[in-house]
Amino acid sequence: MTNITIILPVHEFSETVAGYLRKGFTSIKSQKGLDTLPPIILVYTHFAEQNGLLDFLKEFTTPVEPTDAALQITTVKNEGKTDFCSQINLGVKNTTTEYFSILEYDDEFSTIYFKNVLKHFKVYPDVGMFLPFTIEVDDKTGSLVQIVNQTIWSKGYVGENGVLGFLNSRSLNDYSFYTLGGAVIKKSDFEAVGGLKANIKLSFTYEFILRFLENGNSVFCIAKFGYKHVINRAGSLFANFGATMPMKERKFWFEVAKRESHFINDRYIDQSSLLEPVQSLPAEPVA
Amino acid sequence: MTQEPVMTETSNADKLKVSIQNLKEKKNKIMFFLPDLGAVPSGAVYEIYSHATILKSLGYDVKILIETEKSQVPEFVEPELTQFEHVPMENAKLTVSPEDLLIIPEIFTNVMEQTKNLPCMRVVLLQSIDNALRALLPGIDWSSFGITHIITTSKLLELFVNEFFVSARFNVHTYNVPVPDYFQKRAEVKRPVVSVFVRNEGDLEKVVKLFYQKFPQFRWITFEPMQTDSKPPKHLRRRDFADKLDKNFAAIWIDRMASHAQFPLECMRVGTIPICLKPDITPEYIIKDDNYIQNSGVWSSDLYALPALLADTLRKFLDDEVPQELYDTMDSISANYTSSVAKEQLTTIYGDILNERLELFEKTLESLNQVPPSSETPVATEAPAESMTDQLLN
Repeated sequence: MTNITIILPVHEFSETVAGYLRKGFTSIKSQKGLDTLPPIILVYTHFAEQNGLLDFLKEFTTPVEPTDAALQITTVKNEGKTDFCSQINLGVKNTTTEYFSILEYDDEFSTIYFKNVLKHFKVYPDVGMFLPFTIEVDDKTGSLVQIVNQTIWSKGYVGENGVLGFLNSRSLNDYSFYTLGGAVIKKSDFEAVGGLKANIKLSFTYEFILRFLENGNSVFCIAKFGYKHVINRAGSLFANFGATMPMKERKFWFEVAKRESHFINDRYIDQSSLLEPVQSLPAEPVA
Repeated sequence: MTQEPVMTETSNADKLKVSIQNLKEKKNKIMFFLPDLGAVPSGAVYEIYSHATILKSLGYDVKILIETEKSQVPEFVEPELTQFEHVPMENAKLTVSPEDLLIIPEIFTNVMEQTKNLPCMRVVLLQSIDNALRALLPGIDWSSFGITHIITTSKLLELFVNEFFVSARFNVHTYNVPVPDYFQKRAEVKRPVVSVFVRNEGDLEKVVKLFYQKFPQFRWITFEPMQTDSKPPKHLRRRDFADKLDKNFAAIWIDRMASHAQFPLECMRVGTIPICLKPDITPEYIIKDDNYIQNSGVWSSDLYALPALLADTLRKFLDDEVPQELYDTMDSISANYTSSVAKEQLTTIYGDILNERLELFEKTLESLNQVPPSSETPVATEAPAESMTDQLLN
């Protein structure tokens, strides 16, 4: 048993989404060195259902050849809030394994990822969250844009008193760019700190990791390329943030993240300060 | 050190009997001259203690000769290897007998010179060509000090002696320097951290800067010196050294003047990939039948190739694409350098040297016994026996 369930939130469904999902499922079926493949909990919305998602899934749950590995996909319909955080929280609620991992529908796992995760379970049984080295590729060109989460292995980043491989909240205060895609998280630790917060935009990943650490959990980075994340996809949540969110609002959400990380509950966020007009500087005196 | 008083012919025979008896009963002394390198870890010093410990385990009376009273027992060596009587040479009161053995590191030609009139047998321990040539005057070799036996740490050093020291005929004994048993693969998962072990810091600086320059995607990589994490960093005890090395996926090694590439072997033993600049003397263990052994770590003759080789190794590590053949080959190479292999080899080497001594004593004694009583006319053909005795005892 892998002891990990993959949570896959799907908000909408189309031919394009099908193409991404196919790659993601293939990456799970191609995992090396596992006795059994990790089960999947797919959280879907009414919109995705209407466009034929459930029929599409049969392609992956029924083996074509006797030797094919069929995926074990459990579908959970998302009746309430359908944002990313709520979908993940719902998926986690339905898991029965000790750990879960997050697969965004346009992403893929590397084929060596889960066997390495299992090795790390043995060595670091107390770790509450494992982050992979994530390769971010451009949606259009497919070329490498950057590697993410790797700074946790930099002595310059973790500081003299930090331990290489472990994220610490002091350094997290200075640098916030981490992704939860591919993360493997202990369900009990996730739930104990309250899960993801739907009321926080943009910085919800950062807020969650901060809160997770501040509640005494540890975050370790698995030094293997484990996850491929597509960025700059038109219409994606973060692409929209990048395109439309003004700098003032971005700063606001990171300040909110730092403040809210002290609270387990997903509290109401007062955004009225965002409506205040930006004070302009006094005009330069004319000579 | 003092030598025994000159003896008469009769007492020579008695003395030889005692020496023979001592050799047979392992009551002779085996003395190692130890360089004083302070707290700096040295493979050469460690090796001397290894020899001493093996001989002690075989029942010999082993002593360590140190330069002055202030010379300290090195901390980087495990305490169980340093449990010997340490005798300062500045005012040594040791009595040296013909059956004793004095082992002198290659760098101490002055000691070889000073001890050449001692009756004991002296052996050069050759671990470094660099040290050997630094200490010898041009045109001089160890035979000038009456030394004929050399123990070396590699086949290449043996070839070196045979090729360059042509005027003397040395008995060269070679063994495989062991990697201590505590160098073990303990880490189930390796860290993406590069251990560094270099003789010249300038070389390392070049490699690191060029690596970061050419591969910005890997600028997060940490290069870790083989020292303690304390401030200021200190030298590691060898056990801690082994533990630290075991944690990392790869190590950079640059030591152009190394005569025996020990660090890459230690890497191989713990499953850490050595990325090395080939030293002037190519390590014998990466060559077989005049060809390089493939997958015996990562080796280059070009310092400036190391950044790219490191990046390639790192990428393979992060993708789990390091060939299993590499780890298998490293295992099979390092398996030839175990403590048990070395103990067996050194037991034979020291046994052979002491047996040679014993045979010489027995032959000499036999010759002495054949010498007619002084009242009779001596037989001319027996004369060499006396000169052999003189050679031994003077």
